[in-house]
Amino acid sequence: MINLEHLHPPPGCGHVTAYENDGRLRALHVTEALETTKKWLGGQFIEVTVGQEPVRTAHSKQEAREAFSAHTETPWQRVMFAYYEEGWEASLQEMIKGKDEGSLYQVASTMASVILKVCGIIAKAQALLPSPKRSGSSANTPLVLRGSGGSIVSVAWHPHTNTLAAVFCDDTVRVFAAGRSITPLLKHRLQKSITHIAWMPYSASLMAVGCECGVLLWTLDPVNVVTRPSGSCVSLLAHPSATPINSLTWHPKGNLFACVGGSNSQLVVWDVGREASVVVHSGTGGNISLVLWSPDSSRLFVAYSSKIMRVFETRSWTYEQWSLESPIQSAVWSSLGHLLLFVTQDDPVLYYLGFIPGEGVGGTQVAAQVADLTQTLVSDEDGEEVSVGGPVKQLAWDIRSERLAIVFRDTEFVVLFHTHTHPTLHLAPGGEPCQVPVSVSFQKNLPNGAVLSVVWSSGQVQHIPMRYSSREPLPSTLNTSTFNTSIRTTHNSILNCSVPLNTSMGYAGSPVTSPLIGGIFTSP
Amino acid sequence: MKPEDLFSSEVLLWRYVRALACLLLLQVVAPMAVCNLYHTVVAQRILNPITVTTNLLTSCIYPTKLLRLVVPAACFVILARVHIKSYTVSAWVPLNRWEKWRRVLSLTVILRSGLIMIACALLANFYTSLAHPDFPFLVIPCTPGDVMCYKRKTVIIYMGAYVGYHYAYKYFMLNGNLITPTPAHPRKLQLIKASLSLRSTREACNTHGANKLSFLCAICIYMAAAIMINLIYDGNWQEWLVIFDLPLMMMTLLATVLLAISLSLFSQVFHIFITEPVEIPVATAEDSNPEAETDSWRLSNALSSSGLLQLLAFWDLKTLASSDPMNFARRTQVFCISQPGGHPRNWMGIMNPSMNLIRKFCERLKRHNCPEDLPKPPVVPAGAASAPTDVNKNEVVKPPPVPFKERAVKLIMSLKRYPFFGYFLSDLPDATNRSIFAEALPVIWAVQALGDLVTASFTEDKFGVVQRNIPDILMAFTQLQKVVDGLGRVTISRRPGTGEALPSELQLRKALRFSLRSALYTVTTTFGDTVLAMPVSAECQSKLQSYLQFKEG
Repeated sequence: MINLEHLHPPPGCGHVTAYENDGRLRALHVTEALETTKKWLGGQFIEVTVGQEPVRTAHSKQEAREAFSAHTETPWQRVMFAYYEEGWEASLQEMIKGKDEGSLYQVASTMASVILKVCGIIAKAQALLPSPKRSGSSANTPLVLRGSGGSIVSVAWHPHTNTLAAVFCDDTVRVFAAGRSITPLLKHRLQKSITHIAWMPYSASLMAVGCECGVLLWTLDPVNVVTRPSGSCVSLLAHPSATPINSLTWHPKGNLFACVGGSNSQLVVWDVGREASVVVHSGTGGNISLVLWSPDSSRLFVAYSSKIMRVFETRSWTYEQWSLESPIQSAVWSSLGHLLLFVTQDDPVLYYLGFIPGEGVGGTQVAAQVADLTQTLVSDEDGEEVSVGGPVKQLAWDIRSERLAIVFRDTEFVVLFHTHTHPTLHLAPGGEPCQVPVSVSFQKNLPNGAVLSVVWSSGQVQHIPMRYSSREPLPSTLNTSTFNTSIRTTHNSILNCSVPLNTSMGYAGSPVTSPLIGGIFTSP
Repeated sequence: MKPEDLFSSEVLLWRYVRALACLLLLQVVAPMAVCNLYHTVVAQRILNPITVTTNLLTSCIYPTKLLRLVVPAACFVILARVHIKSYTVSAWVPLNRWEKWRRVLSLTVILRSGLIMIACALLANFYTSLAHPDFPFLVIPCTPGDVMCYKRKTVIIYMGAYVGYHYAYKYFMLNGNLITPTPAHPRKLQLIKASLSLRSTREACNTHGANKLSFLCAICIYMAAAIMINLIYDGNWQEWLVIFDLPLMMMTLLATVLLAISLSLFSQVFHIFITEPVEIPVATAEDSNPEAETDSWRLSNALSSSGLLQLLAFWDLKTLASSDPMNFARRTQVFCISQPGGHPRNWMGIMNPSMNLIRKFCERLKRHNCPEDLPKPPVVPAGAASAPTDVNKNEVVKPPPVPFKERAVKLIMSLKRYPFFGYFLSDLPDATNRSIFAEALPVIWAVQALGDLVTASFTEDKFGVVQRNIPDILMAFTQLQKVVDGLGRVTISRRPGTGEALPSELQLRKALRFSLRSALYTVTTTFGDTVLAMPVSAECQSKLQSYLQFKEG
């Protein structure tokens, strides 16, 4: 199993990762790196800029009110207003704030403080109980809160064109397209606390934005020159069982999408054209944090905030379940939909799960470890020791499953692996201190090679072109007749972390890890 | 045997039976348990859980109660009969107000609404008689001294009939009888579980007349009617005020809520069972000898049929065509050729009905919106046909008799000028287009299926059976898209977040545009620049070019 000590040293101070060539990441000076990227990408280069206007984070709106409100009301009025605006808890808080307002008020204030303390104790006691609704929900927080203060918090590439949607911290989305100076700004009163954005496959113009009130479907005419699409371009798809949205995923053909949300464990599938929905699963397991449709459309991965994950087959929606030692943090399907890579919230280990085509889910009994991502100290090119690895924040796999990027929660490096799912898995990593990567996304419409877009904590988006000759077939050119349908597996298996790699055989292949030449992956 | 008959006798009949069995189990056992519990705890004031449980169990096998089970069973059979006879697969869109009134006043609708109301009244009486000893069963006569007995019976029966009327109006006039398959098909148990959730039951109460306002309204109407009757017959109207007693109110509420939930569950469970997908074989053993039997249980025949079978056949075709590897074996059958002979029978059997449906739909739209685009029918020369002649062979100039239908149309047109008749007979806005789009669901699935099959043929079609027809398919798609786009945007718009839903026909119009675009993008993305080399019209080619460049939004 590969670990992060196999990495090549990161570049020294003042250098950034600019591109990948001959299987190695190259670092250059900041200005040179940008120039090189522009030269490599030519007309396809998209500069993601914030613009002139200041971007205010969506979660600081409450504080402004305090600066301007004149406190001319009586304390009782303030309590009433607090109750109307924010509920009974806020009114009790407001009651405690008032001082020297008479004996009756003092008694009420004392009672309020006692009630609040009792409530606090009850809340603490509830937190101690093992409730699935409360456990690990870092994946469900809005993107803005997951960012680290920069203006851009996430990017999503269009599956077929050179178009990139960027989520800003003020809950707006801007769409950048190569060769177009117009960047439409998507803003709506219902678009609050964005958790997920995804472009619809096989469409030029449709984008789903998962937010507090449901899924907002934006229809953006590609030849339109309007910079601020109106409210008529939006339609809201909200199911009471799936609001606020935690995660959403498009069917690979685009007509359907699955979404999950709220504190219940219901899985909702929408027909986008007819705007009709159906709850395909409602069971136990706590709230669902992540859904992913496999690229061959036959399976749907569902991660729960409790320590289980399920994979559904999408014909009659039966499932197989795996128990975990910690809730899922991030997961990715391989391009052919036969392999699932995932990481949990606490273990710095990359796992894989193979699937055998045929009736039912067909998952292997146990997940195997493929990479040890434990935090380690490595020396950079200048000889300074830097920390790499730890618990993982996000995984991203390119369209051909040849490059896998990993962002860590506590350390400042993006690790890049060269992967080959037929039959082996290669790895090669990098990163840089000072700035923290927030999220990563691969461009999806490239005929060969890859472009990785990294959102740094400063709000900058860096594109890293990767030139390589592909060894993996694209999903569309796969001949399904080559699938071996003779192997079946049982379900409800327990995840065993200590299984040697070569135990799972068959079509899914056994990802044998091998250290590759380490590359460096740095921020500008 | 025709595919429709086969479908009715072998598939649909069993679905009805299973739906009814499931409903009886769900709706008789569960409400009986609720009512018995109420009877034990509230009426008899027994609070010991062991006694309550034993009472519940013994009451279920009590002979009189078992006898009473005949009543709900009969009610459900009546309701099932009405549902089986009245469901439809395309929404009803009235062209003018007269059509609306005609439907309201039609004998069938009145008769079926009456049946629903009777069934509901009986059910309400059944539920209350189970729950409280003061509420006797309909057939049990009241004791002479009991003043309230008769009034309680009438109030409950009236409220039952009222909820039934609410349901029947929604069912017949507001497309409550429309049956459309759900976007995904999980197990039936899951769907039933979802329809039993607290949220759906609350929604059911609101929609089927068991909400507070409706309840009050019904009671007021009832009171007014009762007082009027008493005044006419010189009775003491004040005695009717005694119906405002707490147990009666409680029982009325319980009965209406249970009834509303029962009706909603009935329609949902019926819907779930009827729209269950059916897998129709692409090719059968008879295919090797096509002259042996022409009408058989095959996908191509089912696609050419009508109604529910056609809808389910197109759903099956759509599933078959999707990229799911599990359907690979069935897709292979579509692309195979007959042995001997090498004819692509299966593909043609699928493509022809689908294309016919798409073309006919396109023609209907064109005929109404842009008749000038339609190809002109060949003009018959005046002298070519045998003209009427007299005995001397001279042509007789005699105007042909005007058929009755034309005269009726002319009469209606002339009546429209008068305001009173105009109100009823003038067309409602966009009604014709809406009525056409109400039947668009199979067209949408045909478009999706053909798009997916053409895409799949790129890698899976070994004999090239599809490639000859790709230009035709693309031209049909682009033509239909031109017509649909030419209609402009949907006139009724709504603001997101207001919770309003578009009428189903307008939603289908949106869905058709959406699926056409999606299908064309799927084909152009898979085939790339090759599509430009296909022999298609110049207009279609320019459209494909813009699809290749992702400029169609």
